[in-house]
Amino acid sequence: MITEDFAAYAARLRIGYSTSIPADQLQAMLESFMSGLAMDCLEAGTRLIGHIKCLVETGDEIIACSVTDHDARVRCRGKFEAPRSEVDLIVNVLQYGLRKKDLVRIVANCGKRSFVSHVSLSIEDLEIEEKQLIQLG
Amino acid sequence: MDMIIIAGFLGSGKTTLILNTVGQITERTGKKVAMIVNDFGNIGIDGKVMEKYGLKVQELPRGCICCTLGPSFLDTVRTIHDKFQPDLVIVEPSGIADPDAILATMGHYQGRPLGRISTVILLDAVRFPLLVQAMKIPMTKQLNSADMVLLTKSDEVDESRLRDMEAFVKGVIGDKPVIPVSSTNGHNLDVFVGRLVGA
Repeated sequence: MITEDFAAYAARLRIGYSTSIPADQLQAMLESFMSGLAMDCLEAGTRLIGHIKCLVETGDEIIACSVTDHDARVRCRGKFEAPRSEVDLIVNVLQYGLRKKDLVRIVANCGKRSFVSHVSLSIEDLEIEEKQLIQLG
Repeated sequence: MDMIIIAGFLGSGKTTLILNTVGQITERTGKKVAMIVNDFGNIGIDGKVMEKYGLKVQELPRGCICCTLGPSFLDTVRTIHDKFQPDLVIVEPSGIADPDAILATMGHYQGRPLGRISTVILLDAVRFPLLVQAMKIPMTKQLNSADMVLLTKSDEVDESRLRDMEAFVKGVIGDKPVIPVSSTNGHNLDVFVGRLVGA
Protein backbone atom coordinates (compact mmCIF):
# COMPACT_ATOMS: atom_id res chain seq x y z
CA MET A 1 0.00 0.00 0.00
CA ILE A 2 2.36 2.65 -1.24
CA THR A 3 0.65 5.95 -1.71
CA GLU A 4 2.11 9.33 -2.64
CA ASP A 5 2.27 10.40 0.98
CA PHE A 6 3.93 7.24 2.29
CA ALA A 7 7.37 7.76 3.87
CA ALA A 8 9.68 5.51 5.83
CA TYR A 9 12.74 6.17 7.92
CA ALA A 10 15.05 3.65 9.56
CA ALA A 11 17.81 4.69 11.94
CA ARG A 12 20.22 3.24 14.45
CA LEU A 13 20.49 5.15 17.74
CA ARG A 14 23.45 4.67 20.04
CA ILE A 15 22.87 6.16 23.46
CA GLY A 16 25.61 6.35 26.08
CA TYR A 17 25.44 7.11 29.82
CA SER A 18 28.21 7.92 32.26
CA THR A 19 26.98 5.21 34.66
CA SER A 20 24.81 2.13 34.40
CA ILE A 21 21.09 2.88 34.31
CA PRO A 22 18.67 0.49 36.06
CA ALA A 23 16.74 -1.83 33.76
CA ASP A 24 13.30 -0.47 34.68
CA GLN A 25 14.40 3.10 33.92
CA LEU A 26 15.81 2.06 30.56
CA GLN A 27 12.57 0.25 29.75
CA ALA A 28 10.53 3.32 30.69
CA MET A 29 12.73 5.54 28.51
CA LEU A 30 12.46 3.15 25.57
CA GLU A 31 8.67 3.02 25.82
CA SER A 32 8.52 6.79 26.25
CA PHE A 33 10.63 7.15 23.08
CA MET A 34 8.32 4.91 21.07
CA SER A 35 5.16 6.50 22.33
CA GLY A 36 6.69 9.96 21.82
CA LEU A 37 7.50 9.16 18.19
CA ALA A 38 3.88 8.30 17.51
CA MET A 39 2.55 11.38 19.28
CA ASP A 40 5.05 13.68 17.57
CA CYS A 41 4.19 12.21 14.16
CA LEU A 42 0.48 12.73 14.80
CA GLU A 43 1.06 16.27 16.03
CA ALA A 44 3.11 17.03 12.91
CA GLY A 45 0.33 15.80 10.61
CA THR A 46 0.64 12.05 10.05
CA ARG A 47 -2.73 10.93 8.72
CA LEU A 48 -2.05 7.25 9.39
CA ILE A 49 0.62 5.51 11.42
CA GLY A 50 1.54 2.39 9.53
CA HIS A 51 3.99 0.88 11.98
CA ILE A 52 6.63 2.31 14.28
CA LYS A 53 8.86 -0.47 15.52
CA CYS A 54 12.21 -0.81 17.20
CA LEU A 55 14.65 -3.50 18.15
CA VAL A 56 17.23 -3.50 20.94
CA GLU A 57 19.70 -6.36 21.04
CA THR A 58 21.51 -6.74 24.33
CA GLY A 59 23.61 -9.88 24.12
CA ASP A 60 21.19 -12.79 24.45
CA GLU A 61 18.22 -10.55 25.14
CA ILE A 62 16.01 -8.96 22.56
CA ILE A 63 13.49 -6.19 23.05
CA ALA A 64 11.10 -5.46 20.20
CA CYS A 65 8.60 -2.64 20.68
CA SER A 66 5.89 -1.49 18.37
CA VAL A 67 3.27 1.23 18.01
CA THR A 68 0.42 1.05 15.51
CA ASP A 69 -2.52 2.78 17.16
CA HIS A 70 -3.20 6.50 17.20
CA ASP A 71 -3.43 6.36 20.99
CA ALA A 72 0.37 5.77 20.85
CA ARG A 73 0.15 2.61 22.94
CA VAL A 74 3.45 0.73 23.00
CA ARG A 75 3.57 -3.06 22.85
CA CYS A 76 6.87 -4.72 23.76
CA ARG A 77 8.17 -8.22 23.47
CA GLY A 78 10.98 -8.63 25.98
CA LYS A 79 12.38 -6.03 28.39
CA PHE A 80 15.67 -4.84 29.82
CA GLU A 81 16.80 -7.32 32.48
CA ALA A 82 20.03 -5.70 33.67
CA PRO A 83 21.48 -2.20 34.15
CA ARG A 84 23.34 -0.85 31.13
CA SER A 85 25.40 2.20 30.28
CA GLU A 86 24.83 1.88 26.53
CA VAL A 87 21.76 1.28 24.41
CA ASP A 88 21.94 0.41 20.71
CA LEU A 89 18.58 0.40 18.99
CA ILE A 90 17.18 0.26 15.48
CA VAL A 91 13.96 2.13 14.82
CA ASN A 92 11.78 1.97 11.75
CA VAL A 93 9.02 4.54 11.20
CA LEU A 94 6.50 3.80 8.45
CA GLN A 95 3.68 6.29 8.10
CA TYR A 96 1.45 8.25 5.74
CA GLY A 97 1.39 12.03 5.63
CA LEU A 98 4.84 13.30 6.62
CA ARG A 99 8.00 13.46 4.54
CA LYS A 100 11.21 11.65 5.43
CA LYS A 101 12.92 14.85 6.56
CA ASP A 102 10.12 15.33 9.10
CA LEU A 103 10.70 11.81 10.40
CA VAL A 104 14.45 12.43 10.70
CA ARG A 105 13.76 15.51 12.82
CA ILE A 106 11.14 13.76 14.97
CA VAL A 107 13.36 10.76 15.71
CA ALA A 108 16.28 13.04 16.68
CA ASN A 109 14.19 15.30 18.92
CA CYS A 110 12.33 12.45 20.54
CA GLY A 111 15.55 10.53 21.16
CA LYS A 112 17.13 13.53 22.90
CA ARG A 113 14.00 14.10 24.97
CA SER A 114 13.29 10.49 25.96
CA PHE A 115 16.72 9.14 26.85
CA VAL A 116 17.31 11.62 29.64
CA SER A 117 20.74 12.24 31.15
CA HIS A 118 22.59 10.66 28.22
CA VAL A 119 26.18 11.72 27.63
CA SER A 120 26.21 10.72 23.98
CA LEU A 121 23.58 10.10 21.34
CA SER A 122 24.37 9.30 17.74
CA ILE A 123 21.89 8.60 14.97
CA GLU A 124 22.78 6.71 11.81
CA ASP A 125 20.40 6.91 8.87
CA LEU A 126 19.95 3.34 7.64
CA GLU A 127 17.97 4.30 4.58
CA ILE A 128 20.92 5.79 2.71
CA GLU A 129 23.90 3.97 1.26
CA GLU A 130 26.53 6.51 2.36
CA LYS A 131 25.98 6.62 6.10
CA GLN A 132 25.68 9.98 7.76
CA LEU A 133 26.48 10.04 11.43
CA ILE A 134 24.73 12.77 13.32
CA GLN A 135 26.41 13.44 16.66
CA LEU A 136 24.09 15.06 19.12
CA GLY A 137 26.36 15.41 22.10
CA MET B 1 6.68 -27.55 -1.29
CA ASP B 2 3.55 -25.60 -0.47
CA MET B 3 3.62 -21.84 0.10
CA ILE B 4 1.53 -19.77 2.49
CA ILE B 5 1.65 -15.99 2.13
CA ILE B 6 0.68 -14.25 5.37
CA ALA B 7 -0.02 -10.67 4.37
CA GLY B 8 -1.79 -7.68 5.86
CA PHE B 9 -1.36 -3.98 6.40
CA LEU B 10 1.52 -2.57 8.47
CA GLY B 11 1.11 -3.46 12.11
CA SER B 12 -1.69 -5.97 11.56
CA GLY B 13 0.13 -8.60 13.63
CA LYS B 14 1.78 -10.81 10.99
CA THR B 15 5.05 -11.44 12.84
CA THR B 16 3.32 -12.08 16.16
CA LEU B 17 0.85 -14.48 14.56
CA ILE B 18 3.64 -16.44 12.91
CA LEU B 19 5.64 -16.60 16.14
CA ASN B 20 2.56 -17.93 17.94
CA THR B 21 1.47 -20.51 15.38
CA VAL B 22 4.44 -21.90 13.49
CA GLY B 23 5.16 -24.32 16.34
CA GLN B 24 1.58 -25.62 16.17
CA ILE B 25 1.82 -26.02 12.40
CA THR B 26 4.98 -28.08 12.76
CA GLU B 27 3.56 -30.17 15.60
CA ARG B 28 0.26 -30.92 13.89
CA THR B 29 1.67 -31.75 10.48
CA GLY B 30 5.24 -32.85 11.10
CA LYS B 31 6.14 -30.63 8.17
CA LYS B 32 9.52 -28.98 7.74
CA VAL B 33 8.81 -25.25 7.60
CA ALA B 34 10.97 -22.45 6.17
CA MET B 35 10.34 -18.73 6.52
CA ILE B 36 10.87 -15.83 4.14
CA VAL B 37 10.45 -12.42 5.76
CA ASN B 38 10.37 -9.19 3.78
CA ASP B 39 10.78 -5.96 5.72
CA PHE B 40 10.57 -2.57 4.05
CA GLY B 41 13.48 -1.01 5.95
CA ASN B 42 17.17 -1.59 5.25
CA ILE B 43 17.47 -3.51 8.48
CA GLY B 44 14.89 -6.26 8.79
CA ILE B 45 13.47 -6.05 12.30
CA ASP B 46 10.82 -8.77 11.91
CA GLY B 47 13.31 -11.37 10.70
CA LYS B 48 15.67 -10.63 13.59
CA VAL B 49 12.84 -11.05 16.09
CA MET B 50 11.84 -14.39 14.56
CA GLU B 51 15.43 -15.65 14.61
CA LYS B 52 15.75 -14.69 18.26
CA TYR B 53 12.70 -16.84 18.96
CA GLY B 54 14.27 -19.83 17.28
CA LEU B 55 12.95 -19.72 13.72
CA LYS B 56 15.21 -20.17 10.72
CA VAL B 57 14.53 -17.17 8.53
CA GLN B 58 15.64 -15.90 5.15
CA GLU B 59 15.35 -12.13 5.21
CA LEU B 60 14.65 -9.87 2.24
CA PRO B 61 15.04 -6.33 3.53
CA ARG B 62 15.31 -3.07 1.55
CA GLY B 63 12.13 -3.03 -0.44
CA CYS B 64 8.98 -4.93 -1.21
CA ILE B 65 8.82 -8.40 -2.77
CA CYS B 66 5.69 -7.39 -4.65
CA CYS B 67 7.71 -4.98 -6.80
CA THR B 68 11.41 -4.07 -6.58
CA LEU B 69 12.48 -7.27 -4.84
CA GLY B 70 10.51 -9.62 -7.11
CA PRO B 71 13.57 -11.25 -8.75
CA SER B 72 15.33 -11.63 -5.37
CA PHE B 73 12.20 -13.24 -4.00
CA LEU B 74 12.12 -15.80 -6.81
CA ASP B 75 15.83 -16.56 -6.26
CA THR B 76 15.21 -16.98 -2.54
CA VAL B 77 12.28 -19.35 -3.06
CA ARG B 78 14.32 -21.44 -5.48
CA THR B 79 17.33 -21.56 -3.15
CA ILE B 80 15.20 -22.60 -0.19
CA HIS B 81 13.40 -25.17 -2.30
CA ASP B 82 16.62 -26.72 -3.61
CA LYS B 83 18.89 -26.49 -0.57
CA PHE B 84 16.58 -27.02 2.39
CA GLN B 85 13.72 -28.90 0.74
CA PRO B 86 11.03 -27.84 3.21
CA ASP B 87 7.46 -29.12 2.96
CA LEU B 88 6.13 -25.63 3.53
CA VAL B 89 7.48 -22.12 3.07
CA ILE B 90 5.74 -19.31 4.94
CA VAL B 91 6.18 -15.87 3.38
CA GLU B 92 5.67 -12.71 5.42
CA PRO B 93 5.68 -9.79 2.99
CA SER B 94 6.07 -6.22 4.15
CA GLY B 95 2.88 -4.52 5.28
CA ILE B 96 2.77 -2.42 2.15
CA ALA B 97 2.82 -5.40 -0.19
CA ASP B 98 0.15 -6.22 -2.73
CA PRO B 99 -0.40 -9.99 -2.42
CA ASP B 100 -1.75 -10.16 -5.97
CA ALA B 101 1.59 -8.84 -7.23
CA ILE B 102 3.41 -11.52 -5.21
CA LEU B 103 1.21 -14.19 -6.76
CA ALA B 104 1.90 -12.69 -10.18
CA THR B 105 5.63 -12.79 -9.42
CA MET B 106 5.32 -16.45 -8.50
CA GLY B 107 3.86 -16.98 -11.97
CA HIS B 108 7.42 -16.43 -13.22
CA TYR B 109 8.91 -19.06 -10.90
CA GLN B 110 11.09 -21.45 -12.86
CA GLY B 111 12.30 -23.79 -10.14
CA ARG B 112 10.96 -27.24 -9.38
CA PRO B 113 7.16 -27.22 -9.38
CA LEU B 114 5.52 -25.92 -6.22
CA GLY B 115 2.47 -27.34 -4.52
CA ARG B 116 -0.41 -25.17 -3.34
CA ILE B 117 0.05 -21.42 -2.85
CA SER B 118 -2.46 -19.92 -0.42
CA THR B 119 -2.89 -16.42 0.92
CA VAL B 120 -3.96 -15.40 4.40
CA ILE B 121 -4.81 -11.74 4.91
CA LEU B 122 -4.73 -10.16 8.38
CA LEU B 123 -7.02 -7.27 9.19
CA ASP B 124 -6.38 -5.24 12.35
CA ALA B 125 -9.62 -5.11 14.36
CA VAL B 126 -8.46 -2.21 16.53
CA ARG B 127 -7.68 0.08 13.58
CA PHE B 128 -10.42 -1.19 11.26
CA PRO B 129 -12.48 2.05 11.19
CA LEU B 130 -9.36 4.13 10.57
CA LEU B 131 -8.12 1.79 7.84
CA VAL B 132 -11.49 1.73 6.08
CA GLN B 133 -11.44 5.51 6.08
CA ALA B 134 -7.82 5.94 4.98
CA MET B 135 -7.07 2.84 2.92
CA LYS B 136 -10.34 1.37 1.70
CA ILE B 137 -9.35 0.75 -1.92
CA PRO B 138 -5.94 -0.87 -1.31
CA MET B 139 -7.34 -2.78 1.65
CA THR B 140 -10.17 -4.18 -0.47
CA LYS B 141 -7.65 -5.11 -3.14
CA GLN B 142 -5.58 -6.95 -0.54
CA LEU B 143 -8.67 -8.81 0.71
CA ASN B 144 -9.56 -9.86 -2.83
CA SER B 145 -6.49 -12.07 -2.97
CA ALA B 146 -7.33 -13.90 0.27
CA ASP B 147 -8.05 -17.57 0.70
CA MET B 148 -8.70 -16.83 4.37
CA VAL B 149 -9.00 -13.63 6.40
CA LEU B 150 -8.04 -13.25 10.05
CA LEU B 151 -9.49 -10.43 12.15
CA THR B 152 -6.54 -9.85 14.47
CA LYS B 153 -6.40 -8.39 18.01
CA SER B 154 -9.92 -9.76 18.64
CA ASP B 155 -9.34 -9.50 22.40
CA GLU B 156 -9.16 -5.70 22.16
CA VAL B 157 -12.51 -5.02 20.49
CA ASP B 158 -16.14 -5.84 21.20
CA GLU B 159 -18.36 -8.32 19.39
CA SER B 160 -20.13 -5.65 17.35
CA ARG B 161 -16.81 -4.52 15.83
CA LEU B 162 -16.05 -8.10 14.83
CA ARG B 163 -19.53 -8.50 13.31
CA ASP B 164 -19.12 -5.28 11.30
CA MET B 165 -15.73 -6.40 10.07
CA GLU B 166 -16.98 -9.84 9.11
CA ALA B 167 -19.84 -8.29 7.13
CA PHE B 168 -17.40 -5.99 5.34
CA VAL B 169 -14.96 -8.79 4.56
CA LYS B 170 -17.66 -11.23 3.45
CA GLY B 171 -18.89 -8.54 1.07
CA VAL B 172 -15.48 -8.69 -0.60
CA ILE B 173 -14.45 -12.34 -0.40
CA GLY B 174 -17.79 -14.17 -0.20
CA ASP B 175 -17.82 -17.53 1.55
CA LYS B 176 -14.12 -17.89 2.27
CA PRO B 177 -13.26 -18.31 5.96
CA VAL B 178 -13.13 -15.23 8.20
CA ILE B 179 -11.72 -15.97 11.67
CA PRO B 180 -11.31 -13.55 14.59
CA VAL B 181 -8.01 -14.33 16.34
CA SER B 182 -5.86 -12.99 19.13
CA SER B 183 -2.17 -13.70 19.47
CA THR B 184 -2.34 -12.23 22.97
CA ASN B 185 -4.81 -14.69 24.53
CA GLY B 186 -4.63 -17.40 21.86
CA HIS B 187 -8.25 -16.94 20.76
CA ASN B 188 -8.94 -19.16 17.72
CA LEU B 189 -5.28 -19.72 16.87
CA ASP B 190 -5.96 -23.47 16.87
CA VAL B 191 -8.93 -22.91 14.53
CA PHE B 192 -6.70 -20.91 12.19
CA VAL B 193 -3.98 -23.57 12.18
CA GLY B 194 -6.56 -26.30 11.64
CA ARG B 195 -7.98 -24.49 8.62
CA LEU B 196 -4.52 -23.76 7.31
CA VAL B 197 -3.24 -27.31 7.43
CA GLY B 198 -6.59 -28.90 6.62
CA ALA B 199 -6.83 -30.69 9.95
